[in-house]
Amino acid sequence: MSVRHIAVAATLLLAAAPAFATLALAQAPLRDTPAEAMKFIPQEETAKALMTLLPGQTYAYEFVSDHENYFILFAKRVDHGNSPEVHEHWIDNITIVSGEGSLTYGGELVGAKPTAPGEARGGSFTGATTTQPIKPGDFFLMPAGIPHMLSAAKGKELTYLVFKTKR
Amino acid sequence: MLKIFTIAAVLAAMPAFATPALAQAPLRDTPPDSFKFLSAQELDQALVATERGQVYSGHVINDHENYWVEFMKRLDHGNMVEFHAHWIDYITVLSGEGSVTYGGVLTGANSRGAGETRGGTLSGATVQPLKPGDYIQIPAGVPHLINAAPGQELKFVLFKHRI
Repeated sequence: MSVRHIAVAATLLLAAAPAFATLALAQAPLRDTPAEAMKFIPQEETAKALMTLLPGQTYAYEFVSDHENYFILFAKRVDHGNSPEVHEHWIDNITIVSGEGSLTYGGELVGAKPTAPGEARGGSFTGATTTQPIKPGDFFLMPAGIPHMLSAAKGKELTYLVFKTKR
Repeated sequence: MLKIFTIAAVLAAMPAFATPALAQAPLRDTPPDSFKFLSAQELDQALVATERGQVYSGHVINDHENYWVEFMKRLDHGNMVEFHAHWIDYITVLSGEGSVTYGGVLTGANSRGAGETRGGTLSGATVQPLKPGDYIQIPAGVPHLINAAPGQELKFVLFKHRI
């Protein structure tokens, strides 16, 4: 084997290396959050956790399960201080748990501020929007990319369950 | 000799091109869901019809490779122990009262394939009463049985995710 042959062989090995590296990547765990144990959270505990609004905000939330591709939380809104939001990467599967309120969705957002990659909040709706009254037991699925806003009815609080899944 | 090396080289390098294509195949190839609103009344209505030959009902909202959302209704009888080897159940009670019996040793279950069993009996299980607003998550591999309290209907929303 000549020096040239060795050089060719070395080049080949280097060229083939990404094939192994890529396979290794492809086999990396998809969701590397640890497995969850059995968990029971009574209604009282969730209600208590939602009693305190987030500092400087008019809403509260309580995570119950958090993964790379999905998470579950309970959230509460009051009748003021709500703003539109849009998620480019996440789908909201929402069930109303208690209270009364409304869901406004559609159109576009003007003046919204980015709060995280693919997330924007605030500003105002423009274009064709729909407002849907909501009450306990109602469900809606909000696809990624559609601006939406949840508000409690006057003098009420709105509690809901969110299954967030990655688009 | 050089020719043989060249052929070997091309063959060796091929997986490098093939693998990224595989890695980029869509993870969940179900089409994206459009906006959906279902009122509590519509969901109640959807739960009137029972599953074939059963007394319980389920209404699937969406169906994806890795998850689905389903509204369910159970009575105080006719329920079976369930076991899912690959799926986690995230349950929130919407109305009615009942219980979830979980853990322990499952005997006499019927295999339904794909890591699912139904029926059989649980011994040494834990009984957790359930009421509206309660949340329970049941990891894959934990047998469980959900019942409404005597004379009641238990309704809950289930978020099912594959492990």
